[in-house]
Amino acid sequence: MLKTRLIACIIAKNRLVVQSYGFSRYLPIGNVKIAVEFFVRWDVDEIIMLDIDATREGRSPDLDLVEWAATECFVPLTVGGGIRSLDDINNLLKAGADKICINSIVADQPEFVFRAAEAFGSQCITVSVDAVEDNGAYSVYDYRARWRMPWRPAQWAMKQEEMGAGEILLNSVNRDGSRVGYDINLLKMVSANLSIPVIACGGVGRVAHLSEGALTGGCQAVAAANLFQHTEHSTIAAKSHMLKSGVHVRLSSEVKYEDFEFDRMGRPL
Amino acid sequence: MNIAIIDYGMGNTKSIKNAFVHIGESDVCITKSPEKIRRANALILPGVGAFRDAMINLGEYDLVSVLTDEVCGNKKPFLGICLGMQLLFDESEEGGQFPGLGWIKGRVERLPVNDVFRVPHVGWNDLIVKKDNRILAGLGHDRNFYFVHSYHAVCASDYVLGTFSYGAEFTAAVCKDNILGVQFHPEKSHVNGLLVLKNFLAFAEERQIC
Repeated sequence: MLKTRLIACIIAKNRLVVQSYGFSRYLPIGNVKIAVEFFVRWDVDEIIMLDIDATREGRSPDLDLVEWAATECFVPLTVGGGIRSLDDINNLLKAGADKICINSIVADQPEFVFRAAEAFGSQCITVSVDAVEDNGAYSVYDYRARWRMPWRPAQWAMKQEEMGAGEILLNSVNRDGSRVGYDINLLKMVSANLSIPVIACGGVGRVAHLSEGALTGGCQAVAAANLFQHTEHSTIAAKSHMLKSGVHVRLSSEVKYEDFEFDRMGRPL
Repeated sequence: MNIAIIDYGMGNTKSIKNAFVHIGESDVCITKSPEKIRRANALILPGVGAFRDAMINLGEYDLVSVLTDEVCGNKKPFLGICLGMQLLFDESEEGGQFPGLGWIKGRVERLPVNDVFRVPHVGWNDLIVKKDNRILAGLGHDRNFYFVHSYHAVCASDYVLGTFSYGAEFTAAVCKDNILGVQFHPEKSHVNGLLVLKNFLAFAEERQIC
């Protein structure tokens, strides 16, 4: 059967991996290629690498970085940040990306998703949807101008599916770096309305949150960035918890999952 | 041993090369040159995209006859990946009945669509080994491989090495003499995928068949 995917997000700023808080504070922690190697050495199912400054700085994607990071990545690699044209997508795929992730361009050129899916196939187009919550009301967030767009996340995501997006990366701005868990209401709201996969992102502080995202949030893939930067919260501990919670995950033959015990709060002992 | 990955404009040739280099085979070229194809000890046909475009591209680069000579004539070890496996068959209904290479008797059909089993089939799924064979040998308890496709190959069970389950069972790997095909992406299937590529290298070295 098809497994729930555990995805490691590598947030890159100036070629360094950073930890992100509320889309506004960033702490640098190491280099991108080492991060990729660690994740692949463990048992991650996919890697998403996002260059968060590219669009703001008007830069196109750093192809050298992707080519470098891709040499040791033997799981699907999604690359995002600074994509403004079909040429950018073509170059990224040639450099080693399997899928690309777009965000700002979708707001600027609504038909871009359609053109990209036509040219490269829906399976390599992931659309990133940033959602912000205010008093129980959700809107899509434009991180460049820092304003709420007049769209609800579910409606926006449905529109992208119609245009040909292959999957949606759903980020909660409020939960980013908070470590209190995914916004389950947001996840349910969006995943219930789509037939393409939804990847949950934003807020994971314990491995138990990942299981929640799959079982209660209804997502086909669960992602975290900050969490995996601490060795004690490796993807191995994560899958061990997901397995114990009843989520169907891929368990690598080369990894021992039985060694992990979890406390009441779902923290590895 | 020299491996040639066929460059016909469709397929993640670089990822496949990276995988071979990682498992210790660095004599790998990405090429559309007939001389390099003839000189290679083994051939890889990648494929991402549509069947029709793939066959048109192979025609435009004049690759069909040299590949047929080397694979069917000279029995050169060959591995088709994803779309590269689907091209092995007589025809595909993708884009409306388009002929393939016809090296293995069979056809390519759309995966059945329904609410539960959505198309494309994307993600990690278990491989069910149907008969003992060299290419799928040595797998541990984890049998997951990464799949991303909307079409599947239908052929005689004699050729089927392995299947996957997605509502029903569908072909995941085929073999006919020196010709191998896998529906999943070994270069993206972590340790299992790298093992399949290692097995293919051993197969090519000995030129032994399943």
